[in-house]
Amino acid sequence: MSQTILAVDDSRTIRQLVEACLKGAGFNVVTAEDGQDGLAKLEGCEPDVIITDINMPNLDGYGFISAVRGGSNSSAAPILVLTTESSQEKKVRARDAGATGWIVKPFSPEKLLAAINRVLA
Amino acid sequence: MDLDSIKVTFFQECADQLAEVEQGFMTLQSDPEEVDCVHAIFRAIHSIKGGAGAFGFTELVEFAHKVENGLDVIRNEPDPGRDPRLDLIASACDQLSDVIAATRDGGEIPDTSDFVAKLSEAFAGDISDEPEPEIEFDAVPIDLTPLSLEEAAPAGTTHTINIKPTLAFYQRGNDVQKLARNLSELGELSVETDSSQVPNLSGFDSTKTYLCFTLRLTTESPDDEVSDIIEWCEGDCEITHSIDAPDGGASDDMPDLDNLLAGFESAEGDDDEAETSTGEEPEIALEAVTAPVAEIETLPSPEANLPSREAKEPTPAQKDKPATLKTSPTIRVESDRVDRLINLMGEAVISQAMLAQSLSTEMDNRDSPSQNMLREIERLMREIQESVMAIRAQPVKPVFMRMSRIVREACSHTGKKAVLALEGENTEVDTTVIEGLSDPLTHMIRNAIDHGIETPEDRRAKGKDEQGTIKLSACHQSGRIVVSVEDDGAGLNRERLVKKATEKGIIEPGAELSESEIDNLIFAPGFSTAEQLTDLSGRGVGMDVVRQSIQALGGRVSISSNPGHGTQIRLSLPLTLAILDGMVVRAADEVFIVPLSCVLETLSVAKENVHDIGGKPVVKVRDTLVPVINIAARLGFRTIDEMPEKATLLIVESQSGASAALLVDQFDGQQQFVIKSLEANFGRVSDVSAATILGTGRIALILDVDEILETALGLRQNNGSVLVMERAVA
Repeated sequence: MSQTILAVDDSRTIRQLVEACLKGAGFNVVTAEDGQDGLAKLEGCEPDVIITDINMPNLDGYGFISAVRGGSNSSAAPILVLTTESSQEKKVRARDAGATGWIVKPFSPEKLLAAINRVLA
Repeated sequence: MDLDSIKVTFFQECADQLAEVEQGFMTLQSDPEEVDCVHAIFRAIHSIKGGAGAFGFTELVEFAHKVENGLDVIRNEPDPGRDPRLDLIASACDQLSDVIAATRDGGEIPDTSDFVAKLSEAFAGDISDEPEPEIEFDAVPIDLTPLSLEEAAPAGTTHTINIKPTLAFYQRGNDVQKLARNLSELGELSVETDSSQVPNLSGFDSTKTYLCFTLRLTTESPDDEVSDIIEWCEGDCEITHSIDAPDGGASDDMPDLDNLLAGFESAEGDDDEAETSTGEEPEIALEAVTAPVAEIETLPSPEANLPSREAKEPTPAQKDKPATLKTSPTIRVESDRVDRLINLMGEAVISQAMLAQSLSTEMDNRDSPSQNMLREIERLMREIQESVMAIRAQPVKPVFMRMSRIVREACSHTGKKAVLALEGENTEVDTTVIEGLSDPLTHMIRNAIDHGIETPEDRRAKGKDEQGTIKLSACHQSGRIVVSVEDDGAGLNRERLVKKATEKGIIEPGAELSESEIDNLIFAPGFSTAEQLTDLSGRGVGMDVVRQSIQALGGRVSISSNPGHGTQIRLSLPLTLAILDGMVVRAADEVFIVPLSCVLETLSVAKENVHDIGGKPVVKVRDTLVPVINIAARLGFRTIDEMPEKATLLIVESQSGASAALLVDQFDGQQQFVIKSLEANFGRVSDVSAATILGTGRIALILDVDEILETALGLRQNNGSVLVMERAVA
């Protein structure tokens, strides 16, 4: 069975790009529009990897990651932060929340797939 | 899904984001405490930048990045909503929207250097850690063609990484095995496991970590790549990373470790699930590694919540916006498809009417089952029609939001101060009407600022707030949408209007005009009150162009002014351009449709009650003399004197408020009609706005009441009838 990736981003463009790119590589992709949506989708899809944006309405990436790691249905799936923020401070903050790694936007499909392959079991 | 269709999504999304930005600035203008708006604007620009980067729109990325940087500074301030630099950001966002449009349409990208310089200057003190406008953010165009990861080249520099993972390391989804696998993709890797810390079983605590690893990698890849991989683990474990100078014989440094953990390397291939153990001692060690990991991964990890995480302040977005921001789900549909549906609906309405017509001639019994069923179908048709129309309905908000840019630009051109206030921006109307609103509104708002709003000094002198207000509102009113643009400026100068109109020969010297007639002079063709053409409103078009474009939408314009206190222009528009409620009338055996929206009342009249005053037919309606327009004569089907013994009068009102009685032979009923444009197939016909197909299959013309009234009565009422006669004779 193909592996599932949950991609959380408020930008439709980025969601479509990630989806197209990952589907092309044979993954099963579930997308969510923001942190809250991400948490809702998480329940049903048990992703192998989670990719999330940081800057999102309703529930931002930090909040989402904390919730994924700490909530009642917590998941230990690797979480990659997909964001244009490349500053060290943001990376550290994301990791403190429980992220596994990050991909700096704009990503190339190679970069994205390489990052995912790095954390896939 | 190909890249092009994602690009379409990107530009659609850009439009949404820009609307968000406008909304944000609008809200901030009235309530600078709404800090969330600053964040929302930031997010929108950020998203635009992110998407643009993916497509390699370098100019767009760079400019958005500049704007974003400025916003980033502002949003981290104690009172972001009142930062004066927001104005600059707002203008920059306007420019950004132009850049986006140019990028989308493949046009020439506007020069942004001016704004870049201004932004750099305004935020010079704050973005010090960003040396120069060098942008670290590079646009990387994406190629969606399938790809395969390249094989790494062997041997080169030797990296030695010592790592002692903490619990957090595993909790954040990291894993030494994955780390090793990733490193092994860069070159020759060996792993040494130090299991000396592993206690005996009784002392084993599954929530603790005991193993240390030494990873030695020999690779030709740049050091950065190695650092990148390790970077994700930093902070979660004790880690040291040392790099030995390249010496070619790297493998010599690693005596017999290679075979110890060869299993890691095998994971590089497709057998991800492969056994990771080969040797004797490491076998135990590796089992020890995987055991706690597996356990933690499935553990709900209650106590695994590290204190650092719990102590984290929730972000503002989290605090202020709880879970429930429910909006009904939407789909995006090409408007062509909806148009097709509407057209089909129109045909169906016609067929249904034809069926009703033919059935009614065959049987008179209104209570027959067929008649009942027919009425039921009629009801259903109307409901379907309304639902189909509702698909095309959109809130006017996006157009209204765009106007705040116009206000900003007009203010900066004229040195005046004004804010835009919106009301009823969620009022819905057909998309074609919305599209057609943009230009007239732009012009009216420019005009209001250019001519209406006074300079700040003048306003102060008059005891008004220095900052003028342009109120843009929309509401539904008896089946139409009424949009009004209201300013609190000086109002119209009627004396000057009359003088100008006289000079231009629009009115005769000494003509007696009511205040409202004077005000409406500004809609007369070729009329411009500005003493000199300004850069703004005087672009060779006057308010007559506004009126024309509103008329083209089936709308009417009216103006009212309160000298010293402001001017209000009201646009009344149909909710849809495809269907019309109309009255069927007959004149000289011809069938015409009169739009119901113009009709005030209907009366029957005997020939002798139509009087002739100065060669002009009038009728007395409740003590008021109303001019009569004989439709059959007007359109050339009869001579002016010919009139039926008994006739029907429709009292109609034009958009300018003038009223008259249309004289027809009889009134046949009221119905909805699908508008079929004449202009597209035939050409412009005076006095006729469009055509329709009747239930009988016959074509009927829809009368252009405004045109009929205005040419018949004109602004100078005294020679209106002459026109009628001339036409009638011709």
